[in-house]
Amino acid sequence: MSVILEGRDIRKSIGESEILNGISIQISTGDFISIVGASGSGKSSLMYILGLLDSPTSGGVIIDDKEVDFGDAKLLSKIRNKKIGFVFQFHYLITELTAYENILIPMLKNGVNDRERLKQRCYDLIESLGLKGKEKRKPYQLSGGEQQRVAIARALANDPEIVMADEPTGNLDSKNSAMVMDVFLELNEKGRSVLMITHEMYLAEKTKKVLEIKDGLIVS
Amino acid sequence: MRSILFIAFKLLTERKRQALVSTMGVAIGVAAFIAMSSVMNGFQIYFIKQAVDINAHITLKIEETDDPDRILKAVYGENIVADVLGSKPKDLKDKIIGYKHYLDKYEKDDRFIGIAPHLTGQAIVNYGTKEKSATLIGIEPALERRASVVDDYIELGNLDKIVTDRNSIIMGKLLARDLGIKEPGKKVTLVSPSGGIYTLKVVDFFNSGITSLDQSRVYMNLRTLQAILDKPNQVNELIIRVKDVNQAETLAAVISEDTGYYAESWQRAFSNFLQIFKMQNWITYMMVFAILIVSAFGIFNIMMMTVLEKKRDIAILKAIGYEDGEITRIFVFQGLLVGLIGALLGCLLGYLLEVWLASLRFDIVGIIRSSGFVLDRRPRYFVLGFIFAMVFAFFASFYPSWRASRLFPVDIFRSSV
Repeated sequence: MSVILEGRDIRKSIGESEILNGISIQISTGDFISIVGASGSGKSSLMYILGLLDSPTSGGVIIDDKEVDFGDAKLLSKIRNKKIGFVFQFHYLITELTAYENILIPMLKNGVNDRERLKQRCYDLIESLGLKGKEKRKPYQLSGGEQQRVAIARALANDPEIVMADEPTGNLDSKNSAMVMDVFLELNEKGRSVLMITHEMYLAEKTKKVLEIKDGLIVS
Repeated sequence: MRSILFIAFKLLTERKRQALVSTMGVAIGVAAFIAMSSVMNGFQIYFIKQAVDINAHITLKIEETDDPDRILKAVYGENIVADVLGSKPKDLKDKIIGYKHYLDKYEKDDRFIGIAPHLTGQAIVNYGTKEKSATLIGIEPALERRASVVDDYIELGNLDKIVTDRNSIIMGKLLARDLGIKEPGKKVTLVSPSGGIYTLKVVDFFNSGITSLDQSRVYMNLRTLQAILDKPNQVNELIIRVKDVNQAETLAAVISEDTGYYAESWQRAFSNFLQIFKMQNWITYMMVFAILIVSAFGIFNIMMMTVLEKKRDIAILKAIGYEDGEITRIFVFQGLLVGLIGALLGCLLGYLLEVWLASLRFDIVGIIRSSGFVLDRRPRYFVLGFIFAMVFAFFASFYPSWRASRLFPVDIFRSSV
């Protein structure tokens, strides 16, 4: 299994407080890693740095055997668009757009201009995530679970190598949580790498590898 | 680019009410600009064209100067004049000496279109029991036609009659009206400053639309007026028509230097009006710009509100790979779209306003006479209105858009959990 993304000795401090104290992590093809820990332990901060949304105070992120230059905003945007898909606790769907259009926008950014290809990819994702018939609905016309599945479809739009999910079931009831978790498991079964932040152990236990963070360090 | 346009268009069209309000603001601003520019400039251009063309681009005349004999330069310096109480004005030598030489000379100069001699004087005109003072202008129609457009304002086109019948005159329309003359053919009595009485026939009317001229002018044959004023072979003005009216001021200085007489350009002759027009333009454009600025603030407000409301969307757009510049362009494009639709709508509204204003019929009697608004309906006001709207829309949307691009997505993800 080849390493897709690696974090080396990542440290992050905000003001006086140290959030991450030198974390190293490798994500390979087909991995499903869950990161657990108490609130404020640094789980989300680590995901933001690995997802190139934030920069570390020291240490680095290696993608495709190259250390990422955090000063190159253009490059960071490009990698996020092509290689990483994000799912958050809140769905962050654009309320003015339909489910279909929300899934479309990462592809448009990626420069996919073939109308038929765009349409096909969107409908494939809609179907695979059980959203058929709801593609023309606005986010407020969907249930919480459906909204989160649209967000997952958007994360998968550009066929990224890795999906990063920050508490993806945090806002869902148990039924919808299970449904969303099943989606991630299915994605992983098909070979996609998943990094999931959660504080619910029963969900973490379903993943291939569980890392616990405490005081900015991986403790187990 | 396609994705930017797509998102911007969607964000704007899904917020119809806000978009409509800001679009209408721009449209009203542009329409006001077009209508007001059209009315103000229409009036000014009409006045300048009439006044300048009828009078002259340059008038060469005798300047009233201080009597050189009364300047006490030996005692106090050149600009000190002794004003002796009870003294009478010195008799002015009211003639241009050697004017035929200047006629020949400037006629050949290709900077000028034409030059014509004038003899002007004052007289009292009587018709029946009515009498009015008038400004008499003696002209040579053949030369006059080349130096001014007086012919265009002779109602029946009988300018040449003052050549064939030397006792005929062409009277200002309002002067004739004040005297009670309604049709040509009437005979009037003219009393010269020296007391001479002459009977002359009104053969046509002069109707320029400029009240002050139509109320006072009487055109007649130059020879006739020279006889009436007892100034044989004399003229006291030369009027000159130049090729480029904007060069009149410069050419006037050249002519003045060349002849030694006072050459007055149309800009100087109408400087009072031009100053008023300048002020009028300032006030008008300040008002219109105030409207446009208000509409720009409308766009600014709505864009600022949108950015604040759309923080989460901006954060996710950044997370999925949209760059700062692209976020800026998404919001600037919305502002420009509002500007574009507003400007186009404003142009249409402006056009309809112009059509409506042009259709209004009422008498205007002021420094010009007209039976409705005199509009300048050149496309330039539409083009300028459009450009102003787009520039204002750009600047109004740029700051909120820039603010949007500066948002740090992680802060928003953390705060919205």
